[in-house]
Amino acid sequence: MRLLLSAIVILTSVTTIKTSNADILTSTSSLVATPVSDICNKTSSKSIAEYQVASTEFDKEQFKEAEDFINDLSTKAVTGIFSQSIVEAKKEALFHELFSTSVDLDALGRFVLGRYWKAATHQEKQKFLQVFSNLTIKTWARRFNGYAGISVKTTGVVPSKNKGQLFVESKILQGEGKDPIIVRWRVIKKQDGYKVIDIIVEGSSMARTYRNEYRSVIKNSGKGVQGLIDILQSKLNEFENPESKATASDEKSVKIKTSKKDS
Amino acid sequence: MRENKIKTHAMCYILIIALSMSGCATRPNDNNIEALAEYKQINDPLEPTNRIIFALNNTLDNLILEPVAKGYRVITPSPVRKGVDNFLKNLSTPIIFANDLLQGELKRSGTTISRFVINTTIGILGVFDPASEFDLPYHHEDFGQTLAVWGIGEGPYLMLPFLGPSNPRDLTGKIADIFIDPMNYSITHNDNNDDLKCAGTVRSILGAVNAREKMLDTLDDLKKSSIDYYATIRTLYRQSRNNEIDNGLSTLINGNMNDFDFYDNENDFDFPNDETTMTEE
Repeated sequence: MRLLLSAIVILTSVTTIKTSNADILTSTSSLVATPVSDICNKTSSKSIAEYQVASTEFDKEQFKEAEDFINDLSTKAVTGIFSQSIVEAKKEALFHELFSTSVDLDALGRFVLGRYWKAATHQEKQKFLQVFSNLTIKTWARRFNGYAGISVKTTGVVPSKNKGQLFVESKILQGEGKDPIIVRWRVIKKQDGYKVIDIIVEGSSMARTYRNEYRSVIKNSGKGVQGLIDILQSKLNEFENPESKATASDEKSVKIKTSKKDS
Repeated sequence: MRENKIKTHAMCYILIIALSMSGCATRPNDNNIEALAEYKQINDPLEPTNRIIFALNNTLDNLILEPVAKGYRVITPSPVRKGVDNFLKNLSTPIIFANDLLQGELKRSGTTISRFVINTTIGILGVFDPASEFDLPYHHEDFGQTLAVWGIGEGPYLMLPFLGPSNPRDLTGKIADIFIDPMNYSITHNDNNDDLKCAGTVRSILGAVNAREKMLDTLDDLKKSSIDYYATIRTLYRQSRNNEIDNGLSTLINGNMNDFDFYDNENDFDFPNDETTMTEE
């Protein structure tokens, strides 16, 4: 009780000081509002539309196409994967299909491996892409529980400095009392339409995060890309069969025991 | 009793020795351009030490903070937690306001002060957030971000004991924010007032539990799905800080749009800019 009282006392004292300051400040800020705030608010007040600079590579038609692509993709995801009326097993199959048709896996894989892509053998590259896509599908499908009731709204398109790439910005509305999430999709124009190569959630890029993580694993494993593939494969096994981790360690201990016997 | 003391001393020495021995990550040879670029970009020369501290933090988190945050989620309904979150956000107004001004963001400082007035009065001491309904959304600022806006580089990645991921710039910012906060000021200037001290402690604990509760699902998911949790947290910390510094526009208007280089060109040794490391700019 004493605590609550003291908290209220502190608050009210702070409030009185601040409200008197506030009056002055709001009046000053309204005085200078128009000219100065334009200079000072370098980035914060501008909407994405203002960055839609003229691009020689893309025209308005293509901006629209890219936006439609994301709209279509997110509608499929919301009605298919996030819907509660669909059975769990079917959700993963649906996501698998969506992932393989709308993500440029090769480009994503190249980016994620970075300089190690060049050093990898053809076999390693193929194996990596396979394990990487399977694991990504598994992890993302697991995340989709509890996303029911969300809706996605695209808000604009900006060209990337990279050839053939665009950013589509969207807002994910989570419903009552929750802040919307800003998601940017990096898409690339291919012959057969647009493909996603990165998803940037509140400034955190999926591709960059994978790249940093995998780079660290490759360095620490000491076995190059093959070392990474092995670790990804064991993670995948762990997801597919949650008990496999326990059995694997059991096997190990059994092996140690038998080898001791042998000696 | 004496034996115990010796034990703790020994433990401390072992810890110090382990930390100093783990030392620094090896810098690659100057001839290896790509490896060197990567080393500079990761910008984590203290990685071995940082990893040890990260493991200790994780153990503490598993033992104390995470269970407490889970318990807090169980015993409180969602509107109560929202109220606590609003209340704590409202209390941090002086820090946000001061940093808005220091960054020259007049419009945003106006938003901050208007939010404070509306939420403290109509929102009953900040428990409710009616200001958001009036198109005055919450934003966060701290002195670490201010230093970044002033052009100060982040410096090498640091894992702080108990406090988690940071860097010299953000650590300096954190300390400065303690001095900016009027609540801390009034505590230190009324050192006989136990109620104030107590309120300060409660605020810190509540802040930690509230922040951890909000991260429960994300961190749980990352822990389960990542194959190098330390590296994942390191890159996500930097990316989200850069996003905060640029007030949400980092991937669009800053230099890091060039980072999607697909290594098509065999002669291209240019390492794409992965994270906007302020030191390199």
